[in-house]
Amino acid sequence: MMKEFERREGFQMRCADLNAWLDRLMDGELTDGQRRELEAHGRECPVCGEQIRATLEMKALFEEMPAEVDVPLAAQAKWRGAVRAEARGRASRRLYRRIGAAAAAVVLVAGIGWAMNARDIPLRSEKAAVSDAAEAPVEAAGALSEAADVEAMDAAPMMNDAVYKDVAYESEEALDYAASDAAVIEADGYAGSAAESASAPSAPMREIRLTVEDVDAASGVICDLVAEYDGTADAQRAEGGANLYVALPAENAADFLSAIAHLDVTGALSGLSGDFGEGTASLLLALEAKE
Amino acid sequence: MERTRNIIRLRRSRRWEVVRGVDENKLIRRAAGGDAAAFNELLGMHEKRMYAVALRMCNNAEDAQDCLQEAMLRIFRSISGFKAESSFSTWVYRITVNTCLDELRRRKNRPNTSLDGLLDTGWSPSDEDDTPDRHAARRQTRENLRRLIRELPEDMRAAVVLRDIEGYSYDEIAEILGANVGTVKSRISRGREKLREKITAHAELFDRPGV
Repeated sequence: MMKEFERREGFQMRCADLNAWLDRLMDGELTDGQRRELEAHGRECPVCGEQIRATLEMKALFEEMPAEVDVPLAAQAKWRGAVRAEARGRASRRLYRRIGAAAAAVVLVAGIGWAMNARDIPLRSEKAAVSDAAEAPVEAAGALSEAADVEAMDAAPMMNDAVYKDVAYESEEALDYAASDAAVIEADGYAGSAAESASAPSAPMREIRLTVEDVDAASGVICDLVAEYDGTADAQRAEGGANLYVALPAENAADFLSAIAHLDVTGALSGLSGDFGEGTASLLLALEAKE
Repeated sequence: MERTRNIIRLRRSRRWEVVRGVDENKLIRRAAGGDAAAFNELLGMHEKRMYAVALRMCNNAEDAQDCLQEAMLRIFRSISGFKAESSFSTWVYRITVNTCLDELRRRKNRPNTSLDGLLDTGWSPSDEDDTPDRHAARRQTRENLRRLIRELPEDMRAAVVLRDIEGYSYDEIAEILGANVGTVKSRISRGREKLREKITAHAELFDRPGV
């Protein structure tokens, strides 16, 4: 820490104070006068001069390094996919637990019914029969719950113990959303195009060209976004790129295009708008790799 | 031309809300409830800076991307416990730095084989007099400095990166690293001193300005 008197203009710095001065130089806290003082000292003292030159170079290089760096598209898609998988794993575990609880309730009701009938069975007291019936569902529920936990852990292999305790789904809405979040992917087989599977299109297919850095990565990101906007996508590889046939609710089309605009390196997609009418919007996204 | 046809059908029953313009707190609440779409939108605002930190902390781009993904998962897993008492971004970068430090410790004994993956993708020449040769030379010089940064002890490395590249204040760095301000200042000062020593020792790798 630089002492108060050292901040005065015209202060004659000593070699022993060099580190403190250089820290203030790095932090941009030296006044012009102090900086001239430092440089003057560097010219007179070769040892300090060497350190000052190294610091100036280091500072200049640090300033050239950006505080933000674009994440490669493939890496973007990867972490987003991992988060979605984690969300689905949580939802599955919650669902299994609910199924387990429901099954336990069924077993309990059946057990009570059995106990009521057991009154007629000789050599057993009514109390013992009821006690047995009460234990049976507990065991059954435990087994179901255990099985559910094992399956859930399979579904979310990256989950650790701390997370295991952290079941965040508290509302039916969240559960429904996450359970339906699963993407159904049918590969290497034609099961009807996106346009066919959607309701009757209300507007002709609109073709939009995108120039992207990485066709595969961009296709993955677009397919994810199609899902976000309640649509369906049919991906078809083409020479030097890919064609994505997209059908989605017309009211979501403009927002969807806005969301994918950043993938187009030419910037031509930014600000693209239009009336997509009502019903279903059909789009052909022609992706080609940047030269 | 051989064509491969993949049919991808994706369904969702819940409509995606346009989250652009939605305030951060609302996204945090939704993400805490397990909404992956809200989480992805929220963290999409921070990923570039998180990646920049990871790139400077890790040995190569591949490791940095692994750390980014792991940090995102850690944040998703613990966001329901986030307390609004501290800044969300500070909390996010704290987890990012800790993830990188954990990864560095885990891989400590592994040889570093891929330095080439570290690319300075975000920089463009700002000087009109910059020439391709000059640009390439400066890029190489920056790479030399990055190598020296990676040789710093981990605690110093994190502090120097956060201060001198990411531009955080000493107080913010103390919060991110979970250390007191005095310790942070000391780490940064010693880290810079070590870098100066290395730059001086490898003068041929740096074109230093005259004094």
